[in-house]
Amino acid sequence: MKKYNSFINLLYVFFAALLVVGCVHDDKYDEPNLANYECQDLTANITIAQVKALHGSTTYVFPSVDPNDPTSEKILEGYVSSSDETGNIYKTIYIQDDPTNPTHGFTISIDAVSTYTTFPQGKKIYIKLNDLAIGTYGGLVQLGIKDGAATGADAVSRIPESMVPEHIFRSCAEKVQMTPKVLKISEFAANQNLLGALIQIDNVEFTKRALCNTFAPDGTSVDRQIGAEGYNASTGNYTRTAVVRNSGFASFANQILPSGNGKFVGIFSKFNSTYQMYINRLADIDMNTFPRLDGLDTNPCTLDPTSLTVKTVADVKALYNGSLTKITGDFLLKAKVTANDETGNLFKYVYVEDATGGLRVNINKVDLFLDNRFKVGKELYIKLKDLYVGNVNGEIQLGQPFNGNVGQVVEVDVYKHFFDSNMPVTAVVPTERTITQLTAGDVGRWIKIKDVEFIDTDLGKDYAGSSTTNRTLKDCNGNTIILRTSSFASFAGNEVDGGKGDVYAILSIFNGTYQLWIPKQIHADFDNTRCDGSVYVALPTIYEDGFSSGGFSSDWSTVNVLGAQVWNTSNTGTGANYYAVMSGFASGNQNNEDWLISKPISLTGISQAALSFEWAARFAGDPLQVLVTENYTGTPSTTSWIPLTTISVPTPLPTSYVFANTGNISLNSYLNKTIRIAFKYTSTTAGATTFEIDDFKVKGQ
Amino acid sequence: MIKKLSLISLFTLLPASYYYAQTTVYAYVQDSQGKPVESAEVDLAQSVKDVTADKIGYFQFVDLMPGHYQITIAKPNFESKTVEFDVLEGEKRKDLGIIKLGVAMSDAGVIVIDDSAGDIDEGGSAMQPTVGLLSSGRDVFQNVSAFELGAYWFRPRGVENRFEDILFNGVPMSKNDDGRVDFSNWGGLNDVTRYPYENVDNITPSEYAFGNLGGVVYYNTRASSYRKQTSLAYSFTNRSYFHRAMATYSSGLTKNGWAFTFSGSRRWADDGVIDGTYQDAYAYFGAIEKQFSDRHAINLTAFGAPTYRAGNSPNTQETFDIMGKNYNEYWGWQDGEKRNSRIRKVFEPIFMITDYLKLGKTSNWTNTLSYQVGKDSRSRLDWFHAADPKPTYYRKMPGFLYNDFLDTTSDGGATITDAEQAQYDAYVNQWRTDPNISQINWMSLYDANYQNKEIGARYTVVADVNKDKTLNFASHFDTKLASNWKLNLNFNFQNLKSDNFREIVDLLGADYANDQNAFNYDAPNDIDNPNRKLQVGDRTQYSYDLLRNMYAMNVSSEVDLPKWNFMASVFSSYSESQRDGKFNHAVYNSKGKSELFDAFDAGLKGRITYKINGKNFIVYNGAFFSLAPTLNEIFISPRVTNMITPSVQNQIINSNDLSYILRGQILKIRLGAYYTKINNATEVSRYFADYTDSTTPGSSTSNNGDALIAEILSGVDKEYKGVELGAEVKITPTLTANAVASVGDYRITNNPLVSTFSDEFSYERWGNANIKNYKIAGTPQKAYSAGLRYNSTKFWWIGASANYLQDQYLDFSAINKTPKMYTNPLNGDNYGGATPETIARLTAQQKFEDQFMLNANAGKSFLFGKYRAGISISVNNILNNRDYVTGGFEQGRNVNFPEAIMDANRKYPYFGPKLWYDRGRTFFANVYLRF
Repeated sequence: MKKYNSFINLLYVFFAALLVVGCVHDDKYDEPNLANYECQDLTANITIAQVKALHGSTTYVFPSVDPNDPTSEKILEGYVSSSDETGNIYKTIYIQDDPTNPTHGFTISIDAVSTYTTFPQGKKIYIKLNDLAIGTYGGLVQLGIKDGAATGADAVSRIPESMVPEHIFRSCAEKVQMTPKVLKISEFAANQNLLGALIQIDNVEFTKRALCNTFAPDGTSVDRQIGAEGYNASTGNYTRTAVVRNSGFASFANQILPSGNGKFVGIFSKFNSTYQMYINRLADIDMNTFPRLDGLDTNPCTLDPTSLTVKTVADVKALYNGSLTKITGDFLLKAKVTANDETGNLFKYVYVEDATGGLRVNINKVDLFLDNRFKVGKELYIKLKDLYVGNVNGEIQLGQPFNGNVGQVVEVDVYKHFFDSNMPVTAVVPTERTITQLTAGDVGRWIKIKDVEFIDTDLGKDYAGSSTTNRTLKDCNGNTIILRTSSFASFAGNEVDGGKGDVYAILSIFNGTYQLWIPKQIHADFDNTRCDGSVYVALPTIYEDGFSSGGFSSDWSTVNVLGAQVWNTSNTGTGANYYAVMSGFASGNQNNEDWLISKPISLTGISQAALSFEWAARFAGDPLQVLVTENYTGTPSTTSWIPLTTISVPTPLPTSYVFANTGNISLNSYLNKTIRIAFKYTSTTAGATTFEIDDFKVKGQ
Repeated sequence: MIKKLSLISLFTLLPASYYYAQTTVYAYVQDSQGKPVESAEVDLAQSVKDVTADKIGYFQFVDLMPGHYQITIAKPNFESKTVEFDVLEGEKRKDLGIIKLGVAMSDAGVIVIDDSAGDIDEGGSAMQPTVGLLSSGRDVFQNVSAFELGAYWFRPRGVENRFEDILFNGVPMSKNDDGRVDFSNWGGLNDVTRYPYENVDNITPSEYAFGNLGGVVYYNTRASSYRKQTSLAYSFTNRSYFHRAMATYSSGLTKNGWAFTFSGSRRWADDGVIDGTYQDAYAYFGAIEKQFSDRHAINLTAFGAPTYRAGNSPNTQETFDIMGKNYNEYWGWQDGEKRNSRIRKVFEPIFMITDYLKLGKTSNWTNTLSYQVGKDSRSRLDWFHAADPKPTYYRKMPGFLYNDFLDTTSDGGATITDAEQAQYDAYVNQWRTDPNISQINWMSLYDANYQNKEIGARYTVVADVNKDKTLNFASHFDTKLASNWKLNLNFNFQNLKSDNFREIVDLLGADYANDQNAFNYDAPNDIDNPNRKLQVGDRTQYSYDLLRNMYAMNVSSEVDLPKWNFMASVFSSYSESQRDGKFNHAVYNSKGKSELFDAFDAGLKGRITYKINGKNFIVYNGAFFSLAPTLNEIFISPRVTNMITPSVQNQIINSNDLSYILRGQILKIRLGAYYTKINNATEVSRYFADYTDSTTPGSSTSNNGDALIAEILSGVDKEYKGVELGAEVKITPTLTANAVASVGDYRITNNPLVSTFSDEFSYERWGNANIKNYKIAGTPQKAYSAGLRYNSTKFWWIGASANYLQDQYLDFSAINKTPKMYTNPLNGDNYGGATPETIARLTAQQKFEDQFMLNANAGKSFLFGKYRAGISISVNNILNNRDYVTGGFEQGRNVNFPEAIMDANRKYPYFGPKLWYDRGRTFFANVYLRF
């Protein structure tokens, strides 16, 4: 036994030693010494003024450092005037040449966020300019790089984050307190050198248009106006106004703008001809003093409901006494927003609804959907006193007077009447009806009608053409109702769904006729089999020409029968995209007959065919004839043409060119034939319409 | 004290016609040095006459009829031995002589559990440890699945950890939040958990619990049950730790009725194989028993494992390609040390008192009261109005170079120009050479705090903590109603109070941290307590308790007949769960008590064995039961709301298996088939998603953005089916060959409803995910192994195995399988280009390549007088195959078609799946000394 003892003892020692020596990180770390961490003090050899002076009318690129010439390295210094800690300033560092008394400011465009963590406000920084570039964005001269994305002659791109360590250095000195330069708005123009610097404006207030609104809607940047230096009560105008631009990503974006008068501090900037300011952080501004320049002496943004009598939608409608009626009582309407202007189909109005009904509320303000108060599903509080109810073509609406009837609430009064309930958005529940069940009491309500489809003649057509357009929905019993869509709706140019489905819409009425308005295209998403059991399939295109690159291809022949003017292509007003155009106007209306004739298109072996194209027209004159032939002789006059349709300029005459789609024009009579399509244009000295044709398509399957 | 390590031990005897002669058969059990082995269990097949050897190792069977017999002698720490003999007519006494038991050498294949994937914010379900890995039953299939295939995350029958049960003295070790067993509570206590008291596989009924799908492992920590010895062991390995030292002392039962067992261990590595991983895990165990009489004993047990471990990240393929398979994004240099941001610290000691009472001749009543208290904390970086510090944030990856916003001449990376390639190569070079780029730059985080001292911390290290207090009472009663009829009664009560919160761990040089939510306009995290300036240890972001009471009752019974054996088990349980919020969230109802969620469960299990003859058996197991949702499933987003997951319900589980078993002297075979159906499952995963709009018709609300979401799959139906084969041939007495095949098919069988909860958008329904026939991830569905082992009579062995793994799939996220993914919310129609073929391509589940793995092990044991020593080494993945994906998940960020297709077309997708790869060749060397 003994002979093993030494071995065993050795094992013991080994074992004990293991436990002692097995050091592992203890996860305790000393705070590193950050003095002189990633800093260096360089000697600047160029001033902000000199840098800005290098910029002419095109991008200036700083040449690379010449290794043989140390003086070729250009170093700029400045103090960081901005801070992106709240996210209001985005991918930009503003600097100025002095922390307290700047003579120049400057803008650095950089592809990085939260740069304040490294380059906080008040830090002195150095920029090695070689290989960077100065150009403009929105007219503001700034530092960036010239790369492939900077396509404009005077454009620069953001400095990529990966280039920052080689170009931007910070001083080892501690950051300093920045003292904003006090400026008046009236002094802006004379102090353009300070663009990029931190400035202060005293005795300033947000104007009534912005009052009681948030700094910015979620995710969207907006301009809010401030006014100063005097107020004219009769015109409602300030002596001077300027723009404060707020990001919807700022951490303070959801807060209500301060409603009083006082001190504003922000970065001085400019976009094209407009001066604008950026807030670094909310604590910088102090605008809570009353009275304001415009005379308001208390904060108008809080609502005290206890002094008000609550009315329902039905109550409000009942206030209408047969003619435009002013509401004089201290009334409050609490109702949920059911539809707004998000797609532009509704414009400058929203619908609100409670258990007693729905009501249209007219407000002379765009982008209501970006305002928290008017979000769909939001409970809205409306202070009714001094608003009006009126009857517009059979529909009772709320607003202010206009031309003897009810019109829109003016923007500067919005803060007086509309208050955020601060309740969360909740689902909007539609009232389910059939077409035949609809009653006057449903007007204004958010309605669901099950199992409807667009009538056959609307198939293949867009929601709206060049003006507000009626389409017709029918149920499987043949009852119909109008679906009306504004040409300004973002989906106006989209083709209507060909199937059957449920429509969700606001019910409106126009002189006794019910109309549906869908706030969004999704509200008429019809994907089921149609009432007759058929499945509508959009016809595939078998030939198309969008004339997109200009000129007529060999697919087309143009024949000039009469007059000096001929079919042509143009891209006026459409950017790079060309269209076909014919106008008999040249220093007055001229006599013309001009043909645009397609190549032969075979409809062999298909069971359904149609023609569609986009068109726009202006000025009075003859309609454009759309003709078809199976045997083109080479000469229009000797060919036998069959008319397909005619296109006439709308009345009232449009003031601009707005393209509309014809929808599908049936070619089913020409199946298994080869046809040509012709546009026959005529004009006389009495009138010459300009017709524009685009997206010519022959479809079939 | 081993009790039927597995069902198989029932079959180790041949039948015999034993109805008339009366022979006594006896033998002595000794160890290899000739010392008596006391209390060995001796199983006689087809008989309930099992006996236990006495203190001098003597045992006998009386009144045996003439015939052929087989007995199996089993004892913890020893290899079991089977002996066959014939009893002749007229033989009065038969002496089997001395039966020598060899010392077990089962330490060779130690499995290192690594759970660093269990981070809910990263999503992903793969890589959970499994009980199967721990079991070392004597069935060749179980052995090989555990020690050969288990090293590669193979799970028998695809059963997840959550469906497995481990009990210590009747106390279940499954965590209430996710139902999973947390092995870290006794990690390193291998010496005292080596031999389970009961270990049943799969759905086989247990005597101590109803169990689930994945078997029951029952540990008895009675001090006297441990062999009297002192054991020292040291292991050297290159897995998640490098060193392990273990020491265990057992007194055995002293003359005055006391027994003591103490065990301790430490496992550590200062820098593991994966970069920046380190760990230090201690474990201790103590059991003291006092036997008042041979009918009454009390045992006190305490164990715990203070564990401290640095995590390793899953990575995208682009990252692996640049940085290699050992890359870990969680660490960065500080003070000349690799500092890891993801540290898990767990210490949840458990204390138990067990009372053993013997009633009458054949009844036992065991009661255990236990209390567990402790803290489980997982740290991570947090930031406030500052840039994401993760080095692999997609905008920082070299592939982001091809962002179409950067250059209009770029096509977003679909094709690569030479100039772009050169730039890419330059970035890659930076990544490889500059740890400030490819790892966390701690200095820059401190600097950001330093530069902005007056506005509070920009970067902090925070920890998600859960502090559980669990009280458990377990009662087990067993009796023999007849010599061949057993009855077991089990009762369990559990009370949990789980305190969950996030706390500040390190301010990184700042004076304080802001308690604000940067994703909700800086609203205070607790609106009742605004403007808090947080110090280390303060709670932030969320704080709530989860409360749960559970009562379970289980009755089982077994009848053994000459040709048949029946066992049945029924159970019923009731639980009630509640959330009690401490913070008042700015948007959601999050403070105070939620409504009570109660669940009632019941189930039935049965086993029927038909003994064709002594060598051939047919066994059927069946189970039908319900399973209440875990706390994780009940509360949809407990960090912010009291809301209970809509439509959460009990799972309904039905499982059946049928096996044929051959137990020959030379050849042993088990061939079986199983079919499991799980209905109504609720599956919750939490991750960041990028999605647009809420487009329920009739609602015209609109919004979009990034959000941390909880994705809930409701009413998931799953099917697990397959066949298993295990075969072992004794080619010579010392050379054994085995072969194992498991051919499974685990899939989703319906299109369940997907809903989400996010801070920004609250609860939303997405419709049904088209995931029918998607495969269940987390294990290779098919696995094969063939091995050879040579066991020398001179106390050494050598073995090797070849393993083949097939059908491993990527875990998928479900919301991008719903029609909303490809539906344009503006018009309800498919996005342009969203053809069925494109959608199929985008949503196809990724299948990984088949893998081949070679393992080998060898060892030898020595004797130095009373000292026994052994050395062993095992090497897994000898060929150093680094292509095996052991887990991973889809990043759920591209939930709308235009972004998804754009990302899919990129050469380096921004949001490609995140993967874990096998660590390659690993070895485990072990030396021990026992006396």
